[in-house]
Amino acid sequence: MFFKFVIRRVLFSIPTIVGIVTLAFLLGKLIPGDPAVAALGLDLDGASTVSQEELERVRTELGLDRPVIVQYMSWFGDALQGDLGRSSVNRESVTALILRAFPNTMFLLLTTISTAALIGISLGVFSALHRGKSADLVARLVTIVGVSTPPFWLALVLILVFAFNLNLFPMNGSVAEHGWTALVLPTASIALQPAALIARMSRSSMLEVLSQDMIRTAAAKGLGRWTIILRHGLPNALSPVITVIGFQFANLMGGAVAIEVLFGMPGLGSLLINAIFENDLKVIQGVVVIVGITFALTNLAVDLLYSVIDPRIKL
Amino acid sequence: MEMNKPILQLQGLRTEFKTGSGWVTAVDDLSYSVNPGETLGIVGESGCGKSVSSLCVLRLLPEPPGRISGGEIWYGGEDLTKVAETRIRDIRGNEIAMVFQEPMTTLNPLMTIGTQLCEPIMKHQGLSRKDAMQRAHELLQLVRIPDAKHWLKGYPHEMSGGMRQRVVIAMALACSPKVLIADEPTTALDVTIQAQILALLKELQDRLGMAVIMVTHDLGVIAEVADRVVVMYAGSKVEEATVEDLFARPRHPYTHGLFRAIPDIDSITSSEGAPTRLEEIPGMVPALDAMPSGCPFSTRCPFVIERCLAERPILEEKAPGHFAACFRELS
Ligand SMILES: Nc1ncnc2c1ncn2[C@@H]1O[C@H](COP(=O)(O)OP(=O)(O)OP(=O)(O)O)[C@@H](O)[C@H]1O
Ligand code: SF4
Ligand SMILES: [Mg+2]
Repeated sequence: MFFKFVIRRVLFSIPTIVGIVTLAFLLGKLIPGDPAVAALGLDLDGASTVSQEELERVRTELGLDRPVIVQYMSWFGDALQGDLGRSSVNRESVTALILRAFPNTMFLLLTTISTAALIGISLGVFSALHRGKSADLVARLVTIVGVSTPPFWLALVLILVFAFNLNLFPMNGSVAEHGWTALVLPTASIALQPAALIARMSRSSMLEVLSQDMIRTAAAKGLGRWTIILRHGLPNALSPVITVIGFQFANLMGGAVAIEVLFGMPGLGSLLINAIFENDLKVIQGVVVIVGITFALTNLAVDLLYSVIDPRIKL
Repeated sequence: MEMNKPILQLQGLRTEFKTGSGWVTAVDDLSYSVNPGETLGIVGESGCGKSVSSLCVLRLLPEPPGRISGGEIWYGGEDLTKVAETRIRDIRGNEIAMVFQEPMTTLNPLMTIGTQLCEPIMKHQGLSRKDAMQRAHELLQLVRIPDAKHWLKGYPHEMSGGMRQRVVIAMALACSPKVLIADEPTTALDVTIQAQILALLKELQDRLGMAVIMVTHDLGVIAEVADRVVVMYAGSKVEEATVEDLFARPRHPYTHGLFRAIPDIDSITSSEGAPTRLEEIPGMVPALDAMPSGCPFSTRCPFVIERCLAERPILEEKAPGHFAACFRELS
C-alpha cells in the first residue's frame, strides 16, 4: 500500500518536473543576447569580432535555425536522456559538471538541515517543557537572535574568529582537501536561521500537543515523564515541524550558493556563479533543472514523511 | 478487604487556579469517601469542579495554573497529595485508573490500539510485549470489541466514538484497578451507546469488585449506576445521600432544581436522542472570583432568606446518612 502511494506521488511530481525543464528552456530564449555568440564563449562586445559565416555555422550546429517548437522538443528529449548540452567554456558535458558538483552541495545541505533539525527540535522541546520559566526565555531569546542573524554576515564573523584568529578551521576549501573540518563553518553559518525557525515551530507545536487530552491519558496510565514527552508528545508535534524543515531545506539551496562561493567549496553554487560570469547558458539551464528537480523531490520526501508518521493521512 | 472501610477518602480538598486576578478557588473543602465495590456518583452543573477534583486524586491537575492548596486524599495509609512522584506513577493506571470524557481525543492518533493498551500492562505488570499484547487482546474482548485481534493493529481514527470509549475503558481496566474514576464517560456518546457503556461498566464492576466514582452532570446516569451521590455546586459539596434517599427527597434547593431540569420521558423520545434540557435552573453559577459571601447558591436560590446572604451554611445531617448544606428544611 505504501509502495503504491510512493508511485502515485512520484507520478504526481512529473508535471512539476516537466514545468521545470520547460522553464529552463524558456530561460534560454528570454536571456538577452545571441545564444550563438554566447556559445562561442564571447560576450556581447565580442560579437563583432566573429565572421557572419562562423555565427551561422554555430547557429545550425545548435539548431537555432529550426522552429522554436522543434528546438523545445529536442531540448526536452535530450533532457529526458540526461543530456543537457555542453558548456560553451570548456565543451564539457553539463550533466557531468552537475553530477560532479551536486553531491558536494547535497552533502552540505543535508549536514546543515540535519544539524538545524536536531538543534531546533531539541531547543523547541526544551523551551516548551520550561514554558514561562527563565530557561524558556533564554531559549526564545536565542531563537530571536538566530532568526535575525544574516547567514552571510555570520559566515564572515565565523571566518574571522574561528579561522583567522583561532585557526581552528580552514578558512576555505573543499571537504576533499580538509576533511569534515571544512564543513563546520559553512554549516554553522547557514544552519542557525533554519535551526531557530525549527525551534520556534517545535516549541509552539509541542505546547499545543502537551495540552491535549491524550497526554493526560498517557499520564493517567502511570507512564514516566520522558516516555510521555518522547513517545506521545513529540511524534504528535512533528508534522508542522517537518513542514518547516522541508521549507527551510528548499530555502537553504539559495543560501548555499553564496556560502559555497565565500568558502570556495566546489558545488552547484560555485558552478552557477562561474557560469553566470562566463555567460555559459547551458550550464545555467542545467543548474536550474537540477535545483528544480531537487525542490520537487523535497516536497515528495516531506509528503512521504507525513504519511510515515501519521496513519490518518490517507494513502 | 472490608466492605465498609473506605478505599479512597478525600478530606477538605481545596484546589486553586492562578488567573489574571489572582488565585481563585475551584474546589472548596470537598470531602467524600468511597468503599470497595461501591459506586459513588458525583453530580453537578458544568464548571462546578467535578473534573478538577477527580484529577487531583491522581495528581493530574495541570500545575500551573492549578494547585492543590489544602486537604488530604487518603488511599490506604497514604495521602496521595504528599506521596512521591514515583509512587503516584505506580498507582496511576494500576491501582486507581481513570476514564475521560472525550473518547475522540483521549487516545493517541499515531499509535495502534494494541500498543496503547500494552503500555500500562508492560509498565505495571512487567510483562513482555508479546504477553502484554495477549492481555490487550483479552481486554478488547472483555469490553466486547468485535474482531479484537484485528483492532489490536488498528488506529483510533478508524473506530467510532463508542468503540473508542470501550478501548479507553479497557485501558483503564488493564491492571484491574481498585478504584475507577469515570469522568463523564458517556457524555459525548449518543443515547443507545451511552446505555451500552453504562451497562458494561456496571457488569465489569460487579465482576472485578472495584470501586467506581462516576462523575456526571446527568441525574439519569446517577439513577442508573450510583449507590451514593455527592451533589456539587460551585466547587463545594452541597448534598450527599444514598441514591434512593436523594431521589425520594432532595434536601438542598440546588438538587431540587437539578431534578426539575431533567427532561421528562416524552421530550427525550421525541427529540431524536439528544436529551433537551427543559427547565434549567434560572441564573448562572457565579464566577469563581465573584463568589457571594454567604451561601454560594444564594444568587439563584428560590428559597433564599436574609441569613443566607450573610452566613455560609455548613453540611448538616438532615436525616440519617443524608447531608445537606442549607439553612432551610425543604418539605
Ligand atoms: N486550566 C484551568 N485554568 C483555569 N481555570 C480552570 C482550569 N481548569 C478548570 N478551571 C476552572 O475550574 C472550575 C471547575 O472546572 P471543572 O472542569 O472541574 O468543571 P466540571 O464540573 O468538570 O464541568 P464539566 O461538566 O463542564 O466537565 C471551572 O470554573 C473552571 O473554569
Ligand atoms: S442556604 Fe439559603 S440560599 Fe443557600 S440553598 Fe439554602 S435556602 Fe438557598
Ligand atoms: Mg468535567
